[in-house]
Amino acid sequence: MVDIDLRTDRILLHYVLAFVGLTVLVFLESALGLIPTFYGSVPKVSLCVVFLLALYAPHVASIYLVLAIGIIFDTIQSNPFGYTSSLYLIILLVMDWRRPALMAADDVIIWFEFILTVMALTLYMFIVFMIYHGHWPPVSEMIFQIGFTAMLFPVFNWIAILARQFSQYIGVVK
Amino acid sequence: MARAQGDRKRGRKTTSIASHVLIFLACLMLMTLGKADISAMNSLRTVMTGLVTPIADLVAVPVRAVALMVESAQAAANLREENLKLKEDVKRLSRWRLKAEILQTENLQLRSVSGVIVPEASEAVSARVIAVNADSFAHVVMINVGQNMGIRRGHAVTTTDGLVGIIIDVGARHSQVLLLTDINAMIPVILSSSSWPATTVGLNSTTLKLRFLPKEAMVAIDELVQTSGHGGILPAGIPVGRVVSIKDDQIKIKPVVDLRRLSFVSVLVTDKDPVFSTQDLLNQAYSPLPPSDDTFTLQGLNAVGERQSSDVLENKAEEGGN
Repeated sequence: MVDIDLRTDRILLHYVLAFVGLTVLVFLESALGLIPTFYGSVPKVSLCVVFLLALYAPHVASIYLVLAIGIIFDTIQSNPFGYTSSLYLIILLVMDWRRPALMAADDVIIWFEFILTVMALTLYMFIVFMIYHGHWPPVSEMIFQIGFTAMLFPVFNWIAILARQFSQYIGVVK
Repeated sequence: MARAQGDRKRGRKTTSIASHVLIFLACLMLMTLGKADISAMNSLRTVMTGLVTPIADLVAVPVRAVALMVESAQAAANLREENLKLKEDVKRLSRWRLKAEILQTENLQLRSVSGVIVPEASEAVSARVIAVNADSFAHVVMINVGQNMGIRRGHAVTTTDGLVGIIIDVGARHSQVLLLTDINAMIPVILSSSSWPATTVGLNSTTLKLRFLPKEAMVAIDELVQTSGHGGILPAGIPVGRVVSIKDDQIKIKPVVDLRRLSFVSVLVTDKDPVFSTQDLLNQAYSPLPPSDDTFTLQGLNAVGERQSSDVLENKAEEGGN
């Protein structure tokens, strides 16, 4: 009974940490638009983080968490509510399917899978943009944004691996 | 036993996928409701934006500092080149100033003939930009003034260079500005040299498209495009952009304001509701000026967003005459 309580507490703590971390991240991502280089095409670093969370900590990457985070981002960015959440949900769906294969895969393979996923997301973004605005989207900005995001992924993967090793080490010490 | 466990696992997976799909559909529904422009959704957005604004403002501080540092480093590197360019600009502007003074007097004389009424003065309210568009879906920025400073929907937002956009949503202490580059932004404009009317349409990119320009109108590269005041929402005479390319009826405009470097803006607050009555709109009968090489309209707002009243212009003309 005590074990179950402790486990529940730990999961709750992980949830809270993930929520706070992702919230800060989306605010930072939004603020990056203030840097002229990234005007209108800030790398979607939150996609990297959601992908990695779904890979390494699937118990934390819940649909409700990404729904809430997506709506916060859409609020700051004046995007239609649900747009960013739907992007995150697609990642979760893909990872639900690909996680068993990726858990034992090399980093390069994970990166490759991420690139494929964001390419699928770009297609989705194109379609949504065209339906929503009835106009062809700004292709160069979108490609820059997604390309930059794909390039940044290894950095986030490396940080995630380090964090994972650190948490395992802490677990061993305890 | 093993079979039962397998069934349970399969059942859990099916439930998980079903809930993913359900939430995904809910997201699509939310997006559709947003597009439908339902007032409840708009109110919800205003309330939620009011909640996130202080956090966005706080988080933007270090990012803004980094951006400033990067910009300062770049500026230091380009100092010599910049200095030469500025000297050249000063020479060019001196020539323009002289020409402007002459045209200002001419403009005043034309006003006295045509009986144009100078619109009511606007008050410029300074605001800091809190959040800029991070992706290309919507070109909207958030500023840190709202109802507390008398801001209302439809007020024009400018910098010293020209038009930035228009207020589309107002909270207690924040407002959202639809940039002129947004795909939903359509600004009635005139060509500065000939006063032909047209409309700029955003492309969610760094340039705008010029539409509804009469076929007989002549456009030149680098020509200034300014607000016409038609429609009654934006004041006339605010610089919007310059023509950068003309290709097969496709005219591209580059905004005069560098929207990538927005830090502070001015909101032109008027006492009057920015949306005029239908009669006001009908009264704005339009007739283009005859094409002339030396015509350059300077009517409008100065760098701080103040409109010069006809009295001031008359006094200046009298001083010039004396």
